[in-house]
This record gives sequence, C-alpha cells and structure tokens, in this order.
Amino acid sequence: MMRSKVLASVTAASALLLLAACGSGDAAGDDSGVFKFAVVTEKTGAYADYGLQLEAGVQAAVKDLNASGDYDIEFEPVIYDCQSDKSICVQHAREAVTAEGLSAVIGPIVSVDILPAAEVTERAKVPHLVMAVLNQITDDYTNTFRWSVQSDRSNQTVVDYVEAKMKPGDTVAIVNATTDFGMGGAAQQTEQLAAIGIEPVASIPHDPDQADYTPIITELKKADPTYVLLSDSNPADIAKLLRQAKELGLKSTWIGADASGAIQLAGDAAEGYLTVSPWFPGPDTQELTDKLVAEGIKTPGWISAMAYDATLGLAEAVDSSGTSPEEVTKGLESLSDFDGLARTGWTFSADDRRGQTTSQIAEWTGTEYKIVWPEN
Amino acid sequence: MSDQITVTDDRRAAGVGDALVTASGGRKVADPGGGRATGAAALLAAAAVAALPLATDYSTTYLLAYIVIIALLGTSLHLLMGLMGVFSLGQAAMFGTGAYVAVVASDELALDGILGLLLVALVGAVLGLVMGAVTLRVTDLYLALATLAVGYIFENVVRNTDWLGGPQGRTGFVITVAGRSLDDPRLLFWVGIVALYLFIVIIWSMRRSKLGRAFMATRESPIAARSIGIDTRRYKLLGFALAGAFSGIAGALYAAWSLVVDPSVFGIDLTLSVLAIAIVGGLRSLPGILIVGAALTYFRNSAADFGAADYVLLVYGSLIVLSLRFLPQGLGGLLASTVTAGTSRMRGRRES
Amino acid sequence: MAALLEARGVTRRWGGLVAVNEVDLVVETGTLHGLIGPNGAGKTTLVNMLTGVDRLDGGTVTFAGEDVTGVPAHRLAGRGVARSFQTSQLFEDESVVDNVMAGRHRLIEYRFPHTFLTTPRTRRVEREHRLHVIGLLELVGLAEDANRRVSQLPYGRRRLVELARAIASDPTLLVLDEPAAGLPGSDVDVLAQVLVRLREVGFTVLVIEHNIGLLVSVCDRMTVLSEGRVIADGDPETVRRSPEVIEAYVGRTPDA
Repeated sequence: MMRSKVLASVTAASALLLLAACGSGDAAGDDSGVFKFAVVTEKTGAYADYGLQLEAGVQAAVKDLNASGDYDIEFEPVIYDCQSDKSICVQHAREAVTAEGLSAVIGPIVSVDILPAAEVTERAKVPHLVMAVLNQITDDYTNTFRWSVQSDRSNQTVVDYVEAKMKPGDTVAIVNATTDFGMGGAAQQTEQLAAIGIEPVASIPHDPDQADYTPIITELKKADPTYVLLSDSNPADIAKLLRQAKELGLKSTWIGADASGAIQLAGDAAEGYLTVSPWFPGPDTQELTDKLVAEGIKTPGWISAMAYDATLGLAEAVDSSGTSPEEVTKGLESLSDFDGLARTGWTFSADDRRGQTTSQIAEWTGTEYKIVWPEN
Repeated sequence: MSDQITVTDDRRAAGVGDALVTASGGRKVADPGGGRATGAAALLAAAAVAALPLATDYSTTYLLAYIVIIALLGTSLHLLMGLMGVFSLGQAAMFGTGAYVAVVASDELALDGILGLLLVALVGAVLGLVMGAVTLRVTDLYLALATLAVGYIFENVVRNTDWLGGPQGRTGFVITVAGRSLDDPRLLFWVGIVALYLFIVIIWSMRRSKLGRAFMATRESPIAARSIGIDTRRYKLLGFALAGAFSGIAGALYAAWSLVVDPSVFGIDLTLSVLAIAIVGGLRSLPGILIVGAALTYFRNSAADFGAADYVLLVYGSLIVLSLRFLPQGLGGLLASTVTAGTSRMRGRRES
Repeated sequence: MAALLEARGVTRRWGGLVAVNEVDLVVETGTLHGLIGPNGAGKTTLVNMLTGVDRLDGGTVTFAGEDVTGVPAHRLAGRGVARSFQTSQLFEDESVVDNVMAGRHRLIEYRFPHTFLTTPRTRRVEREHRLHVIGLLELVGLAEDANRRVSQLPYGRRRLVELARAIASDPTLLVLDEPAAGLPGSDVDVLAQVLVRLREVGFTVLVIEHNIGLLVSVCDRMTVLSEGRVIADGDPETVRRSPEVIEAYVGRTPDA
C-alpha cells in the first residue's frame, strides 16, 4: 500500500513537471521586420508603482516609434511581470534571453531585482537598459546602459545648486534615513560639500518608519540651517518630516530625492520643497506628460520618462547597427548626443555607460513642479 | 556505551526472546520492503524526472532546478515537522548560511562544488546541531520563535559584514561542480536532484528503521520514548543536523541559481512559502510535499501567464486555510485515504 | 531470590504535600509483583521515580545491584527497565508491528551507514527483529492484528500493543502502569493470562493497579500504597486480609 501510494505520487509529480516543461517557451517568432525586446518589470507586488511606470514609458515610446514611419522595422516589447520577487525576475530574464532569444532587456527597476537580472544578461552577453541609480549597476556589469542619473551625480547636482545659491552666512544640514540609500547619499553629500569647503552645521540620521520626528526638527531648529539636504527614499517618512517641520516653524529649505507620493502625502507642507530628479512632469514637459498619462499613469514620474527615452535610444541603436545582441550593444555604445523627449544629450561608449551627467531640481509650488536647476 | 551488566542482561533477554520466537513456530514475517515491481516502477519514475532536462529548454530547466531547490527545503521541513514533530522555523538560517558558504568557498577558497557542497553540508549540519542544542529545552511556539530568531540574527550580522558584501550582497561568483559551471541549468538540476534523491532515500530508509521509529516515538511522547530507551535529545540533534545539511545544500544551489546572494536569503518570506507548501502538501507526507512544492512553485513563477500575479499571496493564504479546515493532513492525507479506500475495495472484491 | 529492584526511603513532595513518603519497595527477580492502592495513593508518582521519569526528593533506588538513583529514563531503559503508560503513547498511523518494533530500539544495531540507507544488512537485521516481534504478538494474542494500523484497533487491543512494546525491549524488569484501566471484563481475563505467561517465560514484572482483584489472583507478592505510604506488603492473601488494606478500600468489596 505504501509503495503504490509513493508510486502514484511520483508519477503525478513527474507528470506535473512535464506539464511545466511543455507549458512554456515556444521560441520567439523570427519574422523579420519585427524587433522584439524584453521588458522585465515589477507589474505587481510591493514595487508595482515603479514597475508600472517603467512599462508605461516603454509602451508610449513603442506607439510613437511604430507610428512615426521613420523605421522599416516594427518594435514589439515582450512584457514579463516579475512580481517584485527577485527569483522571478531572474527566471524571466533567463526566459527572455535564452528561451525567447531576445536581443535586449529593459528593467526591472528596483536594485535588488535588477542586480540578479543583470547577472543573467551579462553572462548571456545581451545589452541591458536600466533606470536604476545605483553606481554598482554600471560599474560592475559590462552590458548595462543607464538611462537616468546615477546617485552620486544627483547628489553632486544638489551640492552644485547649494554652492550657486549660497550667500554669506548661509548654512547646510544633512538629514538621512539609516537605510542603504540614506546612508550612502549622506556620505556622498558630506564628501562633495567638503570638496567645496562647506561643513554641515548638523548631520542627523533617523531610523525609518518612525511616528514622531520632532526631536530631529528641534535639533534642526537649534542649528537653523538655510538648506536641509535630505537622503530618504521613504515617501511617508519624507511627508512626516516636512509636516512636522512646518508645524514647528522650521524655516529651512528642504532638498531631497524624488520619492513617488511624498508630495501628495505632505500636502501644504510640501510647498517650497525642492526635489532632485532626472525629469519632472508638468507644463514644461507637457507633451511627454500627456503621452504617459495616456498609458494610464495618473502622475507620471521620472521612471516612465526615462523608460520612454531608453526605448527611443534602443530603436536608434537597432536602426543604426542591427538586431543581434552584439549589434544592439554596438549601436547603444555609439549613441552620441542623442536627444530623447525627456532629456537631451544621451551619450554612451564602451567605457562610459553611466547615463546623464547631471540631474534637475524643481520646486513644488503647491500645484506643479517649477524647474529651478539647471537655470536656463 | 554498553557496560558489562547490559551485555549480560541482553544475553539473558535474548534467550527469553528466542524462546518466544520458537514458540511462534517459524511464522513468516511480511517483508516491509517487498513489492519488487512497484520498487522498479518508482525507480523508473525517478529516472524519468531526472531525465526531464533532456526535453526542456534552458529557462524551463532553470525553473525545474528551482523546483528541486524548493523540494529540498520542503523535504527538510517534512523531516523536522512531520517525522520529528519539531515546529522549527529556522530553515532560512540554514538555507542562507548554505548560500553564503557556497559563495565564499568558490570565491575565496576556490573550492570546486564537489568539495564546496560537502563543506556546505558540514556547516549546515553544525548549524543545525547548534540550533537543536539551543532549543533542546523548549517546544512548540517557543521553539518556533527561537529558531526564527536565528534567521533574524544571521540576516543582521551578514548585512553589517562588509566582507560578505554587506546589504548589497555578493555577485559575480561562479560555482563549479567537477570543473563545470553551475550556470548550466542541466548540471544545476542534476546536482540538485542527486541531493534530493539522496535525502529522500535517507528519509525513506529512516522511516523503516529504528531511527524513524525513534523520531516518531519522540514526536508522540518524549517521556514514553525515553522509557523504551530512546535518547530523545540525541535524535532531535541528529534530525536538526540532517535538516541543516540539506537546507544548506539547497541554499548553495540557490546561490548558483539566482547568481546573487544578499541578506534577503535569511528572510522570513522563504520560510513561510515553504511552510505553506508543507501544510498544503501534508507535513507527514513526503509525496504530498513534493507534488505541492512543484505545483505551487510552477504556479508562482507563471502566475502572470494565468493573470493571477496579483493574487499569489491570496491563493497561498486560501490554500492554507482551506487545507487546515478540510484536509488537516494536507494533500498527502487525501492521497493516503484514497489509496487506502482503493486497496480495501480491491481486497473486498478479491475476498467476495 | 535476589532483589532486582530495591527502593529505600523514596520520597517526593509537591509543595507542602508529600505525595510519596519514605517508601520501601523490593521486587525480586522472576516474580510478578503487584503495586496497588486507591486513586491518589501515589502509585504513578512512585513508578515515575523508579523508572527515571521523575526526580526523587529523598531515598535511593538500586537496580540489579547498582545504584540508579536519578538515572534518566532512557539510560534506565538501556539497563533493562521497560514500562508502559496509563494513557496511549502509540503511533496511530503505523502498523502494530512498527509500534512494537519501537520497543526494540535499544537492541537494534545496524551500524553506519546501514542506519541511513536501507541495505541488505539493514533488511536482515530488521527482519530478525520483526520475527521476534511477531513471536511477542503471539504471546499477547495480537498475531492476527500484526499488520493493521493501530488506529483501527479497539481499545483493549491497543493496551495489549503497549504491553507488547514494553516487552519488546527484552527488559529485565517490566513495569506496567494500570494495564487494565478501562478494559472490559473479558479483556481483563486475557490480560491476567498474559501476565502469567510473561512470568513463566522469565520476566520480572511490576504491575500497578487500583483493581485489587486482578492482582490477587496472579501476583506472587503485593505492596499496598495509601496516601503515599506503604500500608501492607507480602503475599496476596495476607495483604488482602490486612486490616489497613480493608480500611483503605473502605466502602468497597476487596475484590471489585
């Protein structure tokens, strides 16, 4: 009895595995005239907000590319939902580059997902277009092309802005979350400030997800800095800091990273908040903003705009060099001063795949972003 | 172990036993391992599973390898929770340790996987022993929390150890077995399946030996077990060590599979999803766990194809609740009762 | 006859209550020894101390000439003390043979690696022990149930499985804690016969009961416990007539 039970189960298990084996992967249709590329992104799960932005940017760009008539080839993204799960991101990246034999991969967005995905594409020698800001992603991999601004350059942009605006007697403080993002950012800013001879009057770390940040605000009030440089990627925490600063009457100007939703959560307290980001939606960028909204994104952010430009750049590379992974890589490496719709002057080479050299800073006026840096 | 008194006692007692056996008149004993035909069929099925990668493409083979890794973890949970009745949530600590040891063994020590995996198994077993020893005096909820805490401690230590890559973890390693890279999904699958089959054979062998009976006796009642001469502590430690060795190997293979190790390998997510598999499959049923492990892992990976990506956790949760309500023994219990009903029906037919 | 088990001044306290108070108990080799007493007399507490399950607050225990005071249960079992329990401790989902095989734990040795991988050697050793177990099952009248699952057995037969499991370790001393508890009359008779057969094949047995009738008919010697003290000790007839015993069982006929 025991034996036949075991036998039945083993048979069932093998049947299931076979089913799994047959279920996936008829190889990509090699119909010429269509260029298929992989978009592996977090459409569901914890990072769906970001992942959906990435997908929307690609879709908007593909529509425009195919409608333009500028290319003899049709572009078709193959979308994989990796459910905000590292293992599934790896699995789908593999599916894309091995079973489907696709010549380029875009996404995913979150660094814990993109690192393993890049391991896959690098080993398969397939070019990988990324939006991640982490330096490591272009430093450690030879096949990645960053379509955004890496974090040290964003921090440098903030420091450049402060340097330009500082009047005698003005001071700077640093506030950061004790996360990888926050500590890394604070360390970079401290170093970059030191390079121009500024020492922060206060440098205050905080643990994420606190309810009460008044001790930090009180400490800031004592130091009374002109600028507070904030390294925090948690929207709720940014909103709490801004609200409590306003309640306690702190006069400083806050400059922080773009964390989706922070502005809405902070309400009036976000007025005058300076955000550093590769791109801002609004009247200055109405055309792209509208395209992204048409893809179902209520408040388009930099991720969707960068994905849009990345897709344009990919098309350009394919057009100039060809559709195999080596040709696409070559095409991307030879992009020089390529103008996207979100940003201009995209330049890559085999030695430098780090993307834009500077970021932008915008002030939230209460209704829209007003770009204040770089000054026109 | 046996002093002189015991030896003489044994001899005396054996005399008594012989008298009894003679009294039984040489009755034949049913061999529990009988049924050569079904045994051969099981071997055939096992070989068929092992041959799967010959028929699948690269990425599907990777998925199969992942299923094998999950099956290894499920099997270790079956040993601890099903056979021994120890409610341990420490799998992630052993798994994560295995992953990091494998990476360090290949990166820093340049060990081939044949030695590397042995090292991983050894370290996993030692960690299992330590966990078993630390939790010897606690049971149930306290044991679950204590073992869970080990995972948290390890995650924090690793996160703050730059040498191990800190919060970003380590990438860019290549784990080899017999000189060939585990980047080859077939090799990865086959190494995993060898480990899995070895583990299954050990568990099946144990079940039908004094070890299995000692585990079960300890599970039912430690006091009664001790009264028939079972050193319950020793067996608890042995079980933890075995589970640790194989969870460690699962972790090592996971490192080769995912190409990145970071502190999240110690996280609770993995423990919970394997626990879900074990509950739905039936803690005491190895076949049930293997089937459900394969099915749920396949579902999880392909959820987007079914349009169910948003509901993965919902499906897991519902399956747990439903099986606890309607199938407390899980799928394995259902299989067993179906088979029992089938055999008794057949028996009835034969007798009539 | 030499004393196999000898307890002197054994004492156990639960807070202020003295559950077992300076009890002396001598079980001689080859005898069937009854330990009786009304509910709450301290029988199980005493047996728990004698078999290493519970600790002693005072006194000494000697087994086969060696001081075993405070030796844990599994070690005592290794020296040849086996016991059964009042409540069922069987594996419900396993066969009768497998349950009884658990009792042979200390006698089975296959050596590494035969312990972890079923080899011809493992099978041979297992078969030898199974054969032995089948013999035991015949002794206690369970031969027909050998391959049935324990969960399918009626209560009376389960008690016999427990008995068989205790015997299976080839004990020098067999301690049975209320083996007749909850048994219908016909099964009690079967049990009594089994106990007599056990003594005949050479076991030394200590039986705990509150049912005085069962023991009087089969025991060689009896000890009566009441409120934690020994109130009578000797051959069954003498014990039964002892005024202390009649008083302890007041309100009941001595042969229930």
